[in-house]
Amino acid sequence: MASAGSGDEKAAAAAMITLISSDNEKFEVTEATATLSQTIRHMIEDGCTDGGVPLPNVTSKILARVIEYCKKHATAAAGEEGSSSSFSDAAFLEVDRAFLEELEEFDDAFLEVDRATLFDLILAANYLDIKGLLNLTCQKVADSVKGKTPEQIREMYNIVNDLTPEEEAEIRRETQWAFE
Amino acid sequence: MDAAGDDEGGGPMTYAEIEQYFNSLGLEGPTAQQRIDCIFSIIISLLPPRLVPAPEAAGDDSDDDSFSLTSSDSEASGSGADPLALHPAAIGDGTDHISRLPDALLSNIISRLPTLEAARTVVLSTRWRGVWAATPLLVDDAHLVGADGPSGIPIVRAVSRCVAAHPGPVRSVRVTRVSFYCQEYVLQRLLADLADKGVQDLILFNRPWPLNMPLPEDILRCASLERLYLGVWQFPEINSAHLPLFNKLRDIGLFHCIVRDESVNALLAHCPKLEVLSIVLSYGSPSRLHIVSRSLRVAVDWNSTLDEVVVQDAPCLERLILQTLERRRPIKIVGAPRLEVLGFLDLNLHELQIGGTVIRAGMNVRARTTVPSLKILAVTVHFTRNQEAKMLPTLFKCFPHLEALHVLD
Repeated sequence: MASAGSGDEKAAAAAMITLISSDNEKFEVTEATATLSQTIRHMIEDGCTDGGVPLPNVTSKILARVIEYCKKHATAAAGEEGSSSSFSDAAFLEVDRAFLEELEEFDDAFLEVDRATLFDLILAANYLDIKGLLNLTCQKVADSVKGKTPEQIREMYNIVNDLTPEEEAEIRRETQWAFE
Repeated sequence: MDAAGDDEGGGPMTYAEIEQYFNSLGLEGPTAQQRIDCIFSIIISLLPPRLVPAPEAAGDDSDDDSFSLTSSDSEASGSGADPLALHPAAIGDGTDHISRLPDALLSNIISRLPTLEAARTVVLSTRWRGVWAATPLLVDDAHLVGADGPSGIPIVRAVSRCVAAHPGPVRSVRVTRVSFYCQEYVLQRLLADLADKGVQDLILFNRPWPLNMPLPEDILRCASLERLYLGVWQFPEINSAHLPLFNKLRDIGLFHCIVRDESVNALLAHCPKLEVLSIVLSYGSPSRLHIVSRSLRVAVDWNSTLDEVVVQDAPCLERLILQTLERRRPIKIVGAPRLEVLGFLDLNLHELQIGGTVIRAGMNVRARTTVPSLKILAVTVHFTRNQEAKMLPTLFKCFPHLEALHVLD
């Protein structure tokens, strides 16, 4: 790093953002990585990032995972930007395909987390407004309940049924088309 | 062609036209029903992918999810574990983690479920009841097949009922598996409800027969539509009383629809955000595609019997994609300053005109007979025909900034 020319160093330094988790841990990330978050992008645009960006809703454990995701996908986004202007180029498509496959593998591995972490990631993705991560994590939850009855979903996610039998019967009548 | 006469469907009127058309192709063997089924499955395959995969292999469409009552995901719960069994590790700390999410995120998750399963979350708890009521409805008739069996009529009713019953808005409806024949009332109700509930994305196909089933005028009241794909309908006439029309529509596909030229023109003129127009397998009507649009970026004609394609005034048009059956027609480019992609230009079937001048091999190309913006050209040339081969150098002059040329012999 020290060997880099001073000009490069300056540019690199200017493009770094410090994120501060709720437990006060600091993370240095590139602007390209940070701006996958629309929330942070807006803060940068408003010039509110000097001295770091405090993220009081995100713990260091979750923020580290989120940054891992953003780093990987920021590279992907950069690649897309380069190729999107030209309509179709077989070579580009080949490269894109290989890269997309790699990205999918990354995403699958990324989702191998316990349930508490998964929901923390959803909340963080929502707060930071990271569309790809939100899609990914919400889809994971949706996939986990696919093919299950309401009773099975309640059991799986410890949802307490606070409806009286009369209320439940009424709802089933109102939504009869889904229950026959 | 004995098959045609005793076809069981016997769709009225237009059946004769189609029979005549099939005969003119000189095909032998299959019945008209088989042929129309084949055509139908082809046009269905051209549709955009479904938002949520169907929960089981319910029929013909390519559905990638296999369905099983007991197993499913390889979820956080741990590999191969049966989620129905008691396994404390999977259930974890016994906390209701999912309810930590705000309503909007619960809606987000519900929207990723097949139609019936999404609706059944309504009975999970008081909170989920409220969330369901506010969640925009997604209806896919492939999701309803399992519940109602393969016969057409109950699915029509199921679609109509779930749209009618939903207290919240309707976001997306995809119906490709049913015949609306003799279901005029249900169809009318459905479209009225879709208009009232602000449907944004609609794919509505009528399984033949007939081929000229009138689409109720309520379709023109669906002002929230952003994407509309219609298949095998007679499109209603558009008049000034219907204006303004589809203010938000970006993408329209008319598949095997009977549409008057005036209606296509009205769509182009009065949908201010329309970017993509696809006309697929239309016979006779529309007869002429005359593009005047401030917003259109992509125009597609796939195997329709258009007599003429004119790009009159399309300042944003980037792609003109044509796939032509054996019908000769002029392609006229008048105002298309941003046209980048043109194909497949068939030098045998298409008479290319630019700026009012017919392009002929070896002609003197002037500035007004060029399209300088064009980058990609796909062209079908029969090299055995001398005249066609000679056209290529002239085309290079007409499209001086060409970057890619695809030639089909």
